[in-house]
Amino acid sequence: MSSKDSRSMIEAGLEQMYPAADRDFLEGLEATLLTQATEHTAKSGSAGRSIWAALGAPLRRRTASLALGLVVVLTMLIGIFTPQRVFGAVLWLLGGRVYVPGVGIVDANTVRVLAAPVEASRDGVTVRVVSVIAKPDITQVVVEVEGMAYEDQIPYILSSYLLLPDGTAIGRRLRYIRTGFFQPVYEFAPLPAGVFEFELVWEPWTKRRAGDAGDWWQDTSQALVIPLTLVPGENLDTPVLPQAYALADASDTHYDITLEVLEVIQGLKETVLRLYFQWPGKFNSVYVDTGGGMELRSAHGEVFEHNRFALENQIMVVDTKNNQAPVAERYSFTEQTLVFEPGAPDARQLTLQIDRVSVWLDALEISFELDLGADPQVGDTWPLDVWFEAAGVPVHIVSARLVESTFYRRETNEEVPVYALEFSVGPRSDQGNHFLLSIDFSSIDGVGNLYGDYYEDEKPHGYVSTLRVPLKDAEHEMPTGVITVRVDSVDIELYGPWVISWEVPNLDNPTSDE
Amino acid sequence: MKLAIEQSSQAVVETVSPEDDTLAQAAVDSPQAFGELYRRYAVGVYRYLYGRTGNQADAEDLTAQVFIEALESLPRYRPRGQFAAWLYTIVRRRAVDRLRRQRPQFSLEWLDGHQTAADTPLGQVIHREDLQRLADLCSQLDKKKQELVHLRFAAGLSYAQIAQINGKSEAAVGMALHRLMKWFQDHWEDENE
Repeated sequence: MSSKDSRSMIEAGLEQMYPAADRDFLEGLEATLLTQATEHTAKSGSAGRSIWAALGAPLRRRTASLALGLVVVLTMLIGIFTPQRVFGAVLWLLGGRVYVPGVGIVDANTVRVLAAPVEASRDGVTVRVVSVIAKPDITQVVVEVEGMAYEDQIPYILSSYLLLPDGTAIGRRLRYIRTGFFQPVYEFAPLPAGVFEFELVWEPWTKRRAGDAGDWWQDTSQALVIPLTLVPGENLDTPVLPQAYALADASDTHYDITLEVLEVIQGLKETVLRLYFQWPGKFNSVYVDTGGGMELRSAHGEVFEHNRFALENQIMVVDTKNNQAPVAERYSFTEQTLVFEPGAPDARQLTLQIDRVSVWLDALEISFELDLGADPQVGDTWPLDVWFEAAGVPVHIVSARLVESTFYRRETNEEVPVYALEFSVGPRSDQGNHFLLSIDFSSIDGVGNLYGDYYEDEKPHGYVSTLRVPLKDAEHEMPTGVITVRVDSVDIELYGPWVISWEVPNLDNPTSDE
Repeated sequence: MKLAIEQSSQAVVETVSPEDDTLAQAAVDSPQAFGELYRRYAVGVYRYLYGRTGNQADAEDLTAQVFIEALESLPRYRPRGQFAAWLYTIVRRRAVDRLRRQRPQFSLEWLDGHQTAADTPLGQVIHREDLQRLADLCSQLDKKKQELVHLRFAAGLSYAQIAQINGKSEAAVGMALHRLMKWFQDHWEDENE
């Protein structure tokens, strides 16, 4: 099993480690709570109001501007979540390059796709297959489900499979489930060449009990079976809408980290960018926080908001630009698809600004010595003046303190007391161009099996992080004298900003070879 | 156009799930709205509490306590787009109370009565033994890391929601999980060698 597969398996396994709640319990508790809630509202004189009246009450209490704001927000959300948006955006584009929500930008000439959404219903639940992209390396199915809470869909996501006409079942690829809002992307192994018709068998694994006789997975009588027919991507009647254009040298570099926009699709409903990362080997990974600090703007200053709710394909362990094989040592993103609200049609120049990225440095081979003295006691503090540089970022450890802590001993299933050292780190640079997120201490004086806690405890004003590392099992002697502390890895947030601008080509008269 | 952008931005920055807040406000007066919130979060809360307690009875008992407390506390909730963080404050407090003298364990006992995907031809990659190994690895994690696993994989919370709960940046949560996965992977592959 490759490293990539093992990681995928681990993530899927972690999801499966937890049981689904018993449905009778959930329904019983809900009934109890609703009874209590009704009693609450009856006491307050509000019983009998409809949910819609209740939902409207806050609006009435607010100012007109806030009400307008809420309407705008709801409009935005409806625009994001309704199926129509997905239908309209399934395939756009000239030149064979298409953007599929939840899947990313793909080459239509190398894929088989679902020509139109298909849905099936049973017992009040409707499963709608919004799009299918069968690529040479993976088959991705974007699904919407109505009539079932997302949480309840997880067993189905884990267990659904594709059934080919010859009876072959294609199981779900054990990659991380990319869910977004209400729209999971089911990922399966590649479809065999020449297969255009098959079925999605949608059923949960939890409904079967051990001991059920027979090969129940071949019994689809209780499953929702959705027949699907694909067509070659190049046969699609692609609407003449957004046009992709490739960019050359649209990049910016700080700290030797280059962010480059490779490709842009400007549609009526969204602007989609392919952002490529390149970083030197000293960083184990580079991570862009899509939760903030990022904007797309025109030369006129109009800002087009990043759509954090959009499904963006972020998981890439292949160097897509250089077409390299997966790099086992780099479990990180080399490419990210970013989705923004649509740019103004007349914008002739666009600028992407990314304020910060986080980096992780591993295997630092940094160590320092600490003299505990002849008789160290809990509460003792040793001032330190340890400086080291991690990828150009100075880190300053200012003190160590001996504390009591606990450690879980797996063999005996018990918490045992241990001594630990707390290291204070800081303050962070006044220049404000980086921020130390955390440090890993992997070992002290050879006690490497007690891997270190890495959590930080930021003080509100002092920019001081406290880090703990177990020192010794309490059953052993307290170490004395000079010990060696090893720093294993650090997380650092680096501030750019990375500013990438490009001229928008005349989209009405494309000249690109693309 | 400008107004819309500003309002959208406000919504994106301040709220992870604006609908939660709307429902939470409404739920003070509306049992149906509370029911909707319950249906959104009950499974995640249960799975999280199962991960913390390791047994069905405790997880069910605590889940009930959590939602009863949430119902009673809702009038004091201030909608700031952090409903999940607010709810999980209650969840974690209840878990801590229960576990004050009890070491939490990852338990796969629940699998005994159930067929898993791993037991089918379609789930050949994950076997029961693999899940047990994962559970063993989880048991070796310190509490902070276990908490991350519970919040992400049991409760199914987003990076943003976990960040709100833990008072961290979203990037820090992403990185911590990224690193945690590498730790799992390293140990997994070590054992396979």
